[in-house]
Amino acid sequence: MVRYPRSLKCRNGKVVAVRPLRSDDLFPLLEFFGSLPEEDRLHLRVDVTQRDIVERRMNPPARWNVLRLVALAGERIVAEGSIEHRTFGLGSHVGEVRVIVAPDFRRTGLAEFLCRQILAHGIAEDLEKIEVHLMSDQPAVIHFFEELDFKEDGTLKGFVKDTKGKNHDLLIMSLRT
Amino acid sequence: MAAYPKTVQLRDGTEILLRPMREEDLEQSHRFFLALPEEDRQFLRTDVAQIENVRIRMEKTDAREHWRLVALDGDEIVADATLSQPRYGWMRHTAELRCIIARPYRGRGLGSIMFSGLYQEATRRKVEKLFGMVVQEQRPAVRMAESLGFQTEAVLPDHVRTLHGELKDVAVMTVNIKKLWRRLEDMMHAMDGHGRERH
Repeated sequence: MVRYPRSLKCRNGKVVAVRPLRSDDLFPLLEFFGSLPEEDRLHLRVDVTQRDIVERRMNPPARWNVLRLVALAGERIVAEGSIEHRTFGLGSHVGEVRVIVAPDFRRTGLAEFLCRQILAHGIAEDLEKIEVHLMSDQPAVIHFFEELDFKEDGTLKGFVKDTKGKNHDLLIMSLRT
Repeated sequence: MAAYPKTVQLRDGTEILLRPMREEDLEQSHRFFLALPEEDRQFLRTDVAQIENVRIRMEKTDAREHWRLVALDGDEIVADATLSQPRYGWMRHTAELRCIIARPYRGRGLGSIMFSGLYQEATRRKVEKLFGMVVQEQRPAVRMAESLGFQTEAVLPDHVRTLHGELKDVAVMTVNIKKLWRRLEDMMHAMDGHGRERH
């Protein structure tokens, strides 16, 4: 079992503490999402500026296994990474990861650290395949996951709509554990 | 249009009642799933031989997110179709279609009747993209989807594990909404007046 919090010295010289999200993290989490550039928020799965959506997201649906980690620099949340999978049915061997990092903590090793933590959790949960769903117009993010050995499974045209109503293609990548 | 319940006729004149699924359908729904051959059941999303899983499935019948249409011959459910549309998030303009038909009712026009019901609900909700997820080696399901105008857009390797523990690839099939309606209209026309609502 991994013990949290874990500490990481990032390449920007700052030290962060990584631990599972807690129920009292709502306001720092809303602040984190609110501080992201609009361009980044457009690429997220839900509109994280809405409190009810963020609250709902903090409570996983019944029979889902979700690990949601946050990285804190002092009191400030600077990244969130999660892995989730169903505990029932035909797809219970497939997990999905998501990672969001504040602009000043990108290319500091934090995203990779968070990803490795959540992937290790997925492997410990006996997941056989771990997916990431992205908009296909995010080359830097795609490259990041390729470096972690994720391979492209397919692209679904016009499958995602950003918060401004524009349609994008959905890219599905996966990693065999 | 889609005022339920409504009675329709299959090609052979059998009268079928269509209506959205209700809470009290639990036992009939479980009987319907149990009567499916294992070959069909192994590709369903959950193990519906367990009544608890059928109950959870029904509890998830939140009309906003999962809209379920059932077809009844007398008191027995003979087909179950679902339109699932995320309530929020980046795929809120899409909906997944699923349809299961009891073996004795296949090849009688019930599939196009069920898909017409799903189509009408999708149109009412202003859904822009429709898709289905089919285990690729389940050829009859793929052929049924293709006959409705669906095309394979991506194949997700090893995406499901069957009740026997085998990993199978899943095809994500999509369809243009107008094309789906044209195909359904052609099918209804070929049914020579059957499959339509009785007045």
